[in-house]
Amino acid sequence: MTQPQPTQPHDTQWPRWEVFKQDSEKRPYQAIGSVHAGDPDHALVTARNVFVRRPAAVSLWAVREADILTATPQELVSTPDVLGVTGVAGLYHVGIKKSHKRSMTFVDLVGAVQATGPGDALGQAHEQHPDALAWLVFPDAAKVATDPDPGTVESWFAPATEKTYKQQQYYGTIGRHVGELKRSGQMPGRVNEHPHVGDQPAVKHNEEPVK
Amino acid sequence: MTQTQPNLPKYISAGETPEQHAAFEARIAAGEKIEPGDWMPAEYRRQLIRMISQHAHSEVVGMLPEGEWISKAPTLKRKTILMAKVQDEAGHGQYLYHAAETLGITREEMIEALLTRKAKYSSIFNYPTTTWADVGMVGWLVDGAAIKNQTMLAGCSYGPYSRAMVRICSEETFHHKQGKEMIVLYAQGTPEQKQMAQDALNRWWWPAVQMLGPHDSDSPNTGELSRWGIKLKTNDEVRQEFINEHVPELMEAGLTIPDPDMHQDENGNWIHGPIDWTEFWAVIKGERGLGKERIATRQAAQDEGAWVREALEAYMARPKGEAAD
Ligand SMILES: [Fe+2]
Ligand SMILES: [Fe+2]
Repeated sequence: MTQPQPTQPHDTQWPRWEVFKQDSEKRPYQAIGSVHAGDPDHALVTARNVFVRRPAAVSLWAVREADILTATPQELVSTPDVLGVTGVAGLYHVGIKKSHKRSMTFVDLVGAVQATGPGDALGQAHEQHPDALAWLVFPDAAKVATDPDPGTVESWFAPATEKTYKQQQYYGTIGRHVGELKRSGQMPGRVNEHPHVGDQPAVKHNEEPVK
Repeated sequence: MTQTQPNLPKYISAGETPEQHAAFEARIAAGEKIEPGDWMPAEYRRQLIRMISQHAHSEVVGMLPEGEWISKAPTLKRKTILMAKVQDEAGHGQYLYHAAETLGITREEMIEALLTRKAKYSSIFNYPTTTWADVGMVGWLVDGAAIKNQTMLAGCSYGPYSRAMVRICSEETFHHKQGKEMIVLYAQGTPEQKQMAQDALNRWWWPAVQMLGPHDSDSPNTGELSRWGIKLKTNDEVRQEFINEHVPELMEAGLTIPDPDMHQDENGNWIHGPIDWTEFWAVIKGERGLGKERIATRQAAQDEGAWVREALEAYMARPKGEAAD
């Protein structure tokens, strides 16, 4: 009954899935990061817990890393073979990176192409968006998605919207603005010639060592 | 071809050329982000793996001092806020492990390095949280200091790290605000509450000032890290930003900063007194603080979660078409 135990600690990472999030029906899906998961349901639940602890999501897609092909302009030069990668023919989603500005997302999905394989899809993406800073393609058949029916969207994503205490705006402005104090001359220039709390002298940091 | 050339600086690894480095540095100087498939110096990759995995571990271990207080929170409101904050820190760890993975290290290797204490994490999380007021003070000062560092890193040259940081910063502002709100209320409360807030400030002020790292003169990696756009500011610059923001606000709250030398100079910068680093280094070396306890807690979580991983693996390995039962 007992199976021989492997001597090496074995890899329990599970496959990596790239996560695409749509903030609203009008917005594109965006590549926001990845999760490790054993199967599609696990990938989507983990993606929600990791990436949707805040409002703004109506749908998540997860795609196994192995099903995604990406390239940067530099890679197209250094490894042009990437355009020859073969695979299943069909509909491929296309994502592009548009700017070097600070962003939370790698690429936005901008459309889909019919292609003979991932390399062909990447080539078409490159032709359609020659100025992009990176291209990403994956077959539509490879994606798993959260259910679009309103009940599921509600139960998956609405709880986050109600938790307004996760937004800094919830706390408003705390205390008077420091600038206000400065203008009115109430902000002292020196903190504490004689540090004290009420009548008690303040404890100096090196008098209270960590246990 | 792959021999090191003795007259090249040591950040140029074997097999790399000064021309490759010059082109790489020109990209960074032009404000381009480096993406996983791009050419990068081996040393850039090594330094990033070190920094990002350390950072991920800090987020994960950072859950422990505050997590202890979830069951002791005084109100339902404070409990839900604290739970959300601790959940966020777990998420931050996930974003960062992901960013490190894009450089070719596995999550297993990183977790192994943490549990065997080969990898470091911010020693700030090895200080004890003594009273409930510490939860507020940690939010205000520790998350406040972390935000200064993370805002800088959001502009760093490595795409996946930068993106993780932008996402993290947008969430950290809540951690900072809830802590500040709590402490400002305590500072206006009963004498006991005010004393709790002051005691917490006395405990956390210097560790928070120190967590932004050694003085620039004692920080060995700064040269390469700034040349490659990983660190856009020095430790002392980030520390000054942190102090300039927090000193006036703490004073406004009616609290006393436990630094008798703290004063504002003619340029408006708040200048701290000499920093006593002995405790900082003692905590980093594990001679003081809760380093052993933190890793033991993390190890216990790993061990207690083993059955979940095993069950999921058995489920994944089931023959195709077999029902889950
Ligand atoms: Fe965090
Ligand atoms: Fe935080």
